[in-house]
Amino acid sequence: MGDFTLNKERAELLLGQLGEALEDIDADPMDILVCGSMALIMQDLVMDRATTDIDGMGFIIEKEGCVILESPTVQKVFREARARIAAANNLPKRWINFQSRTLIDNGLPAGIIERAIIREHGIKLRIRLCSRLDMVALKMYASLDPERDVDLGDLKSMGVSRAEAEFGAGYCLEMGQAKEKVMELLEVMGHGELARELA
Amino acid sequence: MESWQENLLDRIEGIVWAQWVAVGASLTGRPCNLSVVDPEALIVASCSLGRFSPRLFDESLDWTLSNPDLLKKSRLGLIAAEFDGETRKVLAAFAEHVSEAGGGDLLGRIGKSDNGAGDIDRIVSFWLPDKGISRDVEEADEIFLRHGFVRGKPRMRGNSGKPELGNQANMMFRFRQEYGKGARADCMTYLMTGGRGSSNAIASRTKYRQSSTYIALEQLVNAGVVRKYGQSGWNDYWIEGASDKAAKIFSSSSSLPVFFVWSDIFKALFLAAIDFAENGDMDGRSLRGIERARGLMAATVPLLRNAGAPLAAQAVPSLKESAGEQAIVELRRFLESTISVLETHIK
Repeated sequence: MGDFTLNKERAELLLGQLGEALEDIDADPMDILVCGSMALIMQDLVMDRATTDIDGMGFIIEKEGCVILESPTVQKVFREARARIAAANNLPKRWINFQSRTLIDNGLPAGIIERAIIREHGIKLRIRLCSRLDMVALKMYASLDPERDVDLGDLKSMGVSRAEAEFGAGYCLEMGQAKEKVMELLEVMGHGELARELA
Repeated sequence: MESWQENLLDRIEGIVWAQWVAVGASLTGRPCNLSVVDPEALIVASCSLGRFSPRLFDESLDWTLSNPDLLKKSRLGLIAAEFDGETRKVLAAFAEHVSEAGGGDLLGRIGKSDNGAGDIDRIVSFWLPDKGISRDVEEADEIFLRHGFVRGKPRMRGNSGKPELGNQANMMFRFRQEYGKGARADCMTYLMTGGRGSSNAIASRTKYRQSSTYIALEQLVNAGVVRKYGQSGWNDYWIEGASDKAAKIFSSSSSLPVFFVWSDIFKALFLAAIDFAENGDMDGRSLRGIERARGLMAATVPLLRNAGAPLAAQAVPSLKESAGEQAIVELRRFLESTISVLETHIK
């Protein structure tokens, strides 16, 4: 299990199995917003990339006609279904997890749910992959943490456009990041002109 | 084109078939002669795996009707007890047929309710794979119907013969003739094929109770037939020069027949066959397919790997290393290789 990695095909297979397991126990339909590297991998936004888990941000529910993202309380049925997949495939128990739930408290780019790419896995599981634009914003925010080289690597291999970088920079500033740090990041990303405009 | 499962079933049927030919059933083909036939295990195989083969099942019924005296009835019950309830019901119907046709309680208590008969909660098609109950229940055989199965009346033509005792595959019958039906004769068979071990180990291979096995082995030791080495409450039993002695008995220069624990082998193969019959092919993308493969692996691997020296030598799949679709690949490889090993040691 130590060498475990997930690529696009394997992740889709596992999510299909998760949908199957939820059908088996006739669970209520689940709708999960996925971010992290897997959201990039599953949309072919980065190439030759594998990761070690699927990052769920939270469950999407419908309330009074609106879809909202709820900080996840992982239900027993979900835990059991996830454990079945882990056992069948010799995976770590939390191969799909919600460690990124803190992002909800920090604040997300407006419209992130609406822009998400929907993938159905059977009738009980809907996966929404954060869109490219939102992933740029989230990855830029994450890469401001000096210990997270991987996010910068992802941004470089995504070939971020000026408009996307501008959107991401706006999000970072909105989240309270220092302008200097954001400008520095833009420089590294190859958007020096945009950085200077920000100054 | 034949599916993987159909091909596997055909090969399993071939193994059971060759054993029935060896004991004298009215079937054509080359008899088993490289491994020892276990008659009680073979009858239980007919009551489980034989549901996939009408000809084989009815001929096994016919043979049993002609040869009830060659069987150890209590051992038949012990072996059947390790199988599922449905197989025990088939055996109960089987025994009832033999008794009805032969006049008298030929298979003892096998047909009684403690072997699974009498608790009919549903009526199912006897033949597998189940294509639904097409035969009108009113035309079905009464005995089988009473045990919950729909099928026509079995054809018992009275053509069965006796085991040819010069064939070393029939060593068990040969020793039963000499030592009487029971643990002594079957322990002799096991030891004469080069087997050795404690009374507990021998009991688990010959399918007798440990106490009967111990008594039988001690009698054989006292008679000077079997050697024993004992240390702190643990005894190892064997026959000195078993190979030469067996060669003399069978006037054969060929190597000893292999002693397989056929009841465990048939049980494992039936578990696989019934799973395929009920659920079809295993889809590597599906969770249920992977879980089925892992479940079958957990149930069949320990039975098969301990069922005889040639099987112990083959590579065994590990649940830990068989993740996802790989579990299906590994299970198939293991079952195929098991069948190949058995085929090599049949004829």
